[in-house]
Amino acid sequence: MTSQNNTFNDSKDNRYLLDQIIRFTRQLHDSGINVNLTNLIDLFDGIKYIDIANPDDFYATSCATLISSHHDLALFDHLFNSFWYPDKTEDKILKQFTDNDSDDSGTLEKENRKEITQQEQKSQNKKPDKTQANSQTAYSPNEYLMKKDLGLMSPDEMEQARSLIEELITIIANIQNRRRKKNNKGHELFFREMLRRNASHGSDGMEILFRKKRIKKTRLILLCDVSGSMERYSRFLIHIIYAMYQELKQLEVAVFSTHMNVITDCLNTDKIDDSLDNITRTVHDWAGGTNIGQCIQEFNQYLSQEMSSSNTIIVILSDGWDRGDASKMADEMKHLHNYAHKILWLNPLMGHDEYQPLCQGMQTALPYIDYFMPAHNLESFARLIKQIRLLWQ
Amino acid sequence: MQQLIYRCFNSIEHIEQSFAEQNYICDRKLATTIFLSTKLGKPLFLEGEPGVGKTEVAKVLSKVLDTKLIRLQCYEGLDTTTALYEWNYPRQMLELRLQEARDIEKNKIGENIFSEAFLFKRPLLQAIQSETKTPPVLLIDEIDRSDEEFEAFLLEVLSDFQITIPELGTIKAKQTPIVILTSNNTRQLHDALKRRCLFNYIDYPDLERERLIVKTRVPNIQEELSEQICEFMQWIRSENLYKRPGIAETIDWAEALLSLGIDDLTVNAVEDTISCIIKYKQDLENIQKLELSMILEQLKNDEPKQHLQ
Repeated sequence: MTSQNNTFNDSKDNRYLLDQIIRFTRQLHDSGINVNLTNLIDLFDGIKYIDIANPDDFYATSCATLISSHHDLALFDHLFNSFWYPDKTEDKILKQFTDNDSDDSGTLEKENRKEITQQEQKSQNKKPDKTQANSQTAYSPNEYLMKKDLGLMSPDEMEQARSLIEELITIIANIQNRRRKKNNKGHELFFREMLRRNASHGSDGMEILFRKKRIKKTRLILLCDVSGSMERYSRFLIHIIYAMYQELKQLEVAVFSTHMNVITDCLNTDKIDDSLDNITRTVHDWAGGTNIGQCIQEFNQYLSQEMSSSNTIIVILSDGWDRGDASKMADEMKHLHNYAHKILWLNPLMGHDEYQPLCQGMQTALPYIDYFMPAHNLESFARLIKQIRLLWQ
Repeated sequence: MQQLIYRCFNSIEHIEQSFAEQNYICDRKLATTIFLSTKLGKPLFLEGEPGVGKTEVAKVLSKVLDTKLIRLQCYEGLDTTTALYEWNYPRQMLELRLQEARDIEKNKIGENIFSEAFLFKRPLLQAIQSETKTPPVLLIDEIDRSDEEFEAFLLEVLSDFQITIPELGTIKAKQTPIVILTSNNTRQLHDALKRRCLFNYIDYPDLERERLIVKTRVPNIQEELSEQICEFMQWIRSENLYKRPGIAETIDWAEALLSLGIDDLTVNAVEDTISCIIKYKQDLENIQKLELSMILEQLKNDEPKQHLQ
């Protein structure tokens, strides 16, 4: 209350403060914390009631009005201190943040970019040989695409495959909900509508109406292995994930090799290229080693609390080559199994006739998996989608 | 209508003090956010792990303001008939029968059955229609459990504080209720909803605050035991657990130990009562693997972090 007299009424100070706050919010924005006008107005309204000379109160007010998730809290704290109280901020912390923002991601981003373009080039080089001839003569393009190994697809085929994926995904996007709407094929009486319609002609001879459960959007969690051994499929994986995200907003996606990275937010773009940019910025261990146990543990500890509920279906996409501790992986798989409604494991290697799940990772995981399925071509994805649908009904 | 709220708190200290009188120790940051929320008339969005006292804020606030607490517990599938209103169908049918028996004109039968008398008022409608001297505290608990449709609906209610019932028309709030939303983070909420609120993240308390909370909530406990409990809790939260115990568990545990007449935290005492703070079998197994006697010894010697290295 006191502040109303001492700082905010003086228009010059007021103006200066306004400029500073706007500069600060711009800095927040540059670092990835989105601040909109409403937040800003709230902050201005808010500081009228507090003593802005008190750093704690000013901090609490800015924090309450400008951010809306505890994920942003650490970054916000740092930016706040370095902006308003630069003398107090230790160089160490500052370095830690700037390192993360610029150097690391910069080089890794480049590497990842390179990787993806290299892959594209490779597959483009392959294009002129017999595969294309095949696609025009022997099969209908869809059928051919459905059966082609995902690691061998060219960018053009990728494009076609995407529309196929989208078709497939709309199927799982439509599943029943507990909420109801009027439907004469339903089995539950719809009192409200009945009374409304029949009130005028008294209580006799009521027209009976029914209601039915509504369609529900599915909650799915995709955990994708992007370690070195899965590299061949990773380009395709991104496409399928992106297509799935566009259709199913309740989808959560994480990729892992040595660590688990949630990339759901990265997918919220209009173009797949923007998503790729975001992903390369977030994921620093693309095509790295594999430590499934560690990654699942990270998922169990943090992510499971964040994003799933008991009717979640978890889909793990991995070849199961694991260099981590097997007993740890078993523990973590067990926990995940208790937690999820169903676990589906998709293995791209399984499509090959001679494949047997002998590698250690796969052996460890098998007891905790509800469905073990191949995922080497689009046909196998179509099967997956049918399976998910069955699970829900 | 805002004037009523203005009179409630005149400073942040006032909030801290009146909360403390109700045995709730809140830090300056939380107090500031509550203060702003009442001043700006904006909903308060509280995020944090289970058991850190999010729901309690609403309960205490309603006690402090001496007003009604209206609680809406969210769950998946929560819809308008449980959150907002529902028509009293049996009563409506009965009314139709009665009207027929009374030989009311045919075209007038059923005219009144969609009026307020036939309405079940659910929490949101209650909050909006409340006419108490001080606005009620509306607690929307565990909003992350509800589904997206409900979130979108809530967004509408919270921005205008008005509700449209097709048969009755639009009902506007007579006074803005004090709204508190809590979330355990089981899923990400929509930005639009969060943006309408003032945000505060309630973290686990530090040692000093936890000690103060135990002292306030379990007043009969001996100083030494309370010290041991709090240090043990601080340590156990630093361990690798699936579900870290919150402040609610600390209080439960302190009460349990007190009622068992234990005044020193020995290995046996901890093992007998650990179910108060550890709720997962796997966590229990992990804790049992550790050398509790050594840990307790170290905690008592005021070297809380040494064993971790």
